[in-house]
Amino acid sequence: MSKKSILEVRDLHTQFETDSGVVKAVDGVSFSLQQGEIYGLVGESGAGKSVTGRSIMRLIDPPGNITDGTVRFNDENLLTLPMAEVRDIRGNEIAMIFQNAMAALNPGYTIGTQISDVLQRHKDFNDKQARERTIQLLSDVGIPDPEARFDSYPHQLSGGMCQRVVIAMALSCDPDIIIADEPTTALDVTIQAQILELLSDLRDNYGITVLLITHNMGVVASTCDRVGVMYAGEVVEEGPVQDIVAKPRHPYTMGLMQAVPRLNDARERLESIPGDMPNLLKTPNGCSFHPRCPYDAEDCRNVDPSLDPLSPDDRSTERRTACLRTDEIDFDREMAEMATEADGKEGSPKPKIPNRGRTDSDPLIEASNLQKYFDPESQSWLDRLIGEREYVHAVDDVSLDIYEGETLGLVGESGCGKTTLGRVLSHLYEPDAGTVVYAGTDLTELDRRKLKSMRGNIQMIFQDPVSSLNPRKSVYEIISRPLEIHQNIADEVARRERVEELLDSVGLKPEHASRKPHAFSGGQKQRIGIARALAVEPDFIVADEPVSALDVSIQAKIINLLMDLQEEFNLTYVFIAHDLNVVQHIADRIAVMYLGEIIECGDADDIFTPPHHPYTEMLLSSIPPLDPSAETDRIVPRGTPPSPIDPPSGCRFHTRCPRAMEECKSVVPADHQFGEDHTITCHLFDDDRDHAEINALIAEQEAYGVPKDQLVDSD
Amino acid sequence: MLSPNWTMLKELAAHRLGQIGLAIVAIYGILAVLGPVVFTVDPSAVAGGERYLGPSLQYPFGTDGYGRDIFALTILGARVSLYVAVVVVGISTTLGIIFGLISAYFSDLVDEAIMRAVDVLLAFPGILLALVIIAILGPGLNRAVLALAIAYTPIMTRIVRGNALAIREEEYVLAAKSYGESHWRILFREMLPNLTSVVIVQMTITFAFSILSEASLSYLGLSAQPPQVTWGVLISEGQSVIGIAPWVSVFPGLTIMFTVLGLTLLGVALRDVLDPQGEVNMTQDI
Repeated sequence: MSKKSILEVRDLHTQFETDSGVVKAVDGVSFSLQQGEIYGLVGESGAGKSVTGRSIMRLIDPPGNITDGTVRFNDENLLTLPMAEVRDIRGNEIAMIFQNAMAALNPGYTIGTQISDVLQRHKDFNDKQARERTIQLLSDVGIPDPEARFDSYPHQLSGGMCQRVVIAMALSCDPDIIIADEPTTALDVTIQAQILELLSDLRDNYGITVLLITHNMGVVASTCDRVGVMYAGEVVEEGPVQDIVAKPRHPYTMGLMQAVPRLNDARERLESIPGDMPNLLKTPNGCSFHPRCPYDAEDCRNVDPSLDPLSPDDRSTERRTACLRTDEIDFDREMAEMATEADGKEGSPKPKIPNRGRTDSDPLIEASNLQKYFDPESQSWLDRLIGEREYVHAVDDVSLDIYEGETLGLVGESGCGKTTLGRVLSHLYEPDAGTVVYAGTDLTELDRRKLKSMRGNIQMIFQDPVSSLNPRKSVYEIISRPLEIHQNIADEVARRERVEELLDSVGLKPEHASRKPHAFSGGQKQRIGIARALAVEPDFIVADEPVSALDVSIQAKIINLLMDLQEEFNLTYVFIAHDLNVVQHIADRIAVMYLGEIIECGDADDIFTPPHHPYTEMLLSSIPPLDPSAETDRIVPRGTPPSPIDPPSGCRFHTRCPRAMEECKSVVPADHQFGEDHTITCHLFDDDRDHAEINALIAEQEAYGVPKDQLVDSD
Repeated sequence: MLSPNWTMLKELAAHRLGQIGLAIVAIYGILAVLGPVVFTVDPSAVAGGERYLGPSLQYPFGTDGYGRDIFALTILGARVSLYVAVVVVGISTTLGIIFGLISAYFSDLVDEAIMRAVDVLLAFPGILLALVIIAILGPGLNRAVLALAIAYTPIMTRIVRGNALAIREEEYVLAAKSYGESHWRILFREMLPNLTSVVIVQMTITFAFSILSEASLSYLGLSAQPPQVTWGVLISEGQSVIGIAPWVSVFPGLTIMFTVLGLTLLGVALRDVLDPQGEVNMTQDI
């Protein structure tokens, strides 16, 4: 890596003037990008990382204002250049990629037109040249059949493909720098892996420098060369990625690293950072992290630490940290303790964690042959009546047992039907076929009144803490309403007491009851949602992606809370998530869904030890590893899930499966039992197949990462 | 703790635009109720020789072709015009909310039925629709009010439905279903409160338009019958003499304009006050 610095940000200050005061979104940020590196800017929401990225491009609109600092690019200060010249640099030399690719493309034009427009404007290409270059760009970013795709509209492409188009557009004028603001946050893990791979390739092949803004430590660890950790508008630590991840020198970075759930440390309590990110209207005096810092000392409250190089004997001067007590805190011991905890379990044969739910009793919930189809949105009622009728196969012939007191994890890419299954299990949706038997009662046969009283036993926790609370109601109204319906606590005083008790059990204060949801942070809102679900003392809770909208440190707290509540009230959970790390952390058993079907199901430990279904394997290898030195040959997942309107024949996964065989295309695979309760639906494990072959396959999987030329072939 | 309504009023009183709006609306309200008592005038009385007098101290708005005091007539008309507007807005808003919510929430066939009916009604210009209804019912103030209420209901229905469709997808609606809330309560307790701002904005628009439409109907002789006076009647009366005696229509016109302005400002203020975020920048709202 050459050490030539290409962009230098010095002492950047960006503020927003609001009615309630000045928000210091970026408060003295300095860093530099070196030619050809991927620099990660990581932090939780509100840390100021996006505003930093936009300030570099001067994309700050009133009431925002860049008040101080320099951004040096090609010996010029971008912050003082006339706007006309800045516009020339935008897109041409520094390009930007945003989180929501669908929104970044104009739905009214074909993607080809949109890219060639940019070329014609900045590069004076004629129509033919622009078209050729566009097709070249589309193929560079890995869009299959670029000539045909030239005339596609954005809505005809998947989210991942749109993100590729946006990257192609950013590349169109050969920029030196790409600023990627959360480019993979809206995407599935499998697609995320593909996009990250693409960014690395672009760096390797074209020497493009990337400023990658993200909240995901895994993304940083697997993609970046150097990292700056942001907190409350400041960079608190900076250095090469291996050092940041393995040897953090700032308590916040360490807290972040410990809060991330990792594979293979199942059902441990997660470390979490106490408190929330401070309100940027009035950041605390001294070190802005001190109110949450476990090493908080007198000095920290008065002196604002500057970002200084670590002592010279520590590797290099590239490491910088903003902590007064760096020398006093034994970071390595703290991190080592965490590592040995994990090692202890991995080194010795892992003691099998007993499944909490599994007893000899009957399952709490028995779902059999569930089916739920939806009408596609594009189909009008007239089509439905007289046309060829089509369905979205959201849930297709799913059978599932859930035992009292256990947590069943439900994982899969978006659109695989996991949310629908969750809602059918909680009987928010009536299944089209099949039955849900809850503690001996068939929910599908209940009349309305009985079903209503049944609702008290089954509750849901939702994904989006903003959307799941009615903004017009106070917390008290939100939590007390289910009580009114089910518990008949007519007494206002008793109800208020119960609400306060519930708030207490989810870690909120009684005085919060009178506030409206907007007064709370994301994590607190999620706690209110949990309190509402708990209000009627349910036995069974379906939690639909309850932590995916939250920051890492908050996520850890909510997961811990859910586990504590489970113990306290003997709850049974179905935990729906797309993040395997999170699921394995909380689940006793895991069911993997693909296009409306469960393709693998078993104890959490079994799911993560081979043999796997090839799809599970793909999901597992899509997770960006937290250890940047672990150079596993990751299988980069192929393609995107096919449309659930017309699912592929045979095994639904065969179109993306790296091990697909001839019979997979036509024959629906059967379930195969492994061990006690581990089911895989895949032809690879058919009985007539050679056992030696299967064993070889398992061995291969154990080695993790399969060279594609050694794939088991069908004949 | 203050009761929610009290805090809302206090906030409204502190809102700059709200103050102006409230003041205008209050003035009109008082004039409409008390005006005819103070300024006793017989709308059918004719003062010969004082036709088309310009505005003066004695006749602030001037006089019309029969020599009547337009200021007094305007105050007299306020009652009828405000009555029309309030009733039309009341009926069309109530019906629009009910149909719109039901249509959005119960989608499919119910939705199709309501929306196609709305499409049919919207296909005619509002005034034409009102004319058809009056042709069936016969002329008269109350019939005109009913006709206008029917004509404005589809617009409110459309707006409520469009916004309710988005709200239906919010997870708190699903949450309410999951703890067994009834459809009725989900519609009116969970969804409706989140529609207040759009409904209020549409109400102020309907208010203004219904005054104007009633004026048009009066002009055609299909609404208020003489000697009843409405602002619309005054405007249409002055229309033919706009060149020589503009005050005959201009002052009633300005009156309508200020009423609508006052209501709009009040609507804006209400929207801000009702917004749970409560952080709307007041100066940006004009």
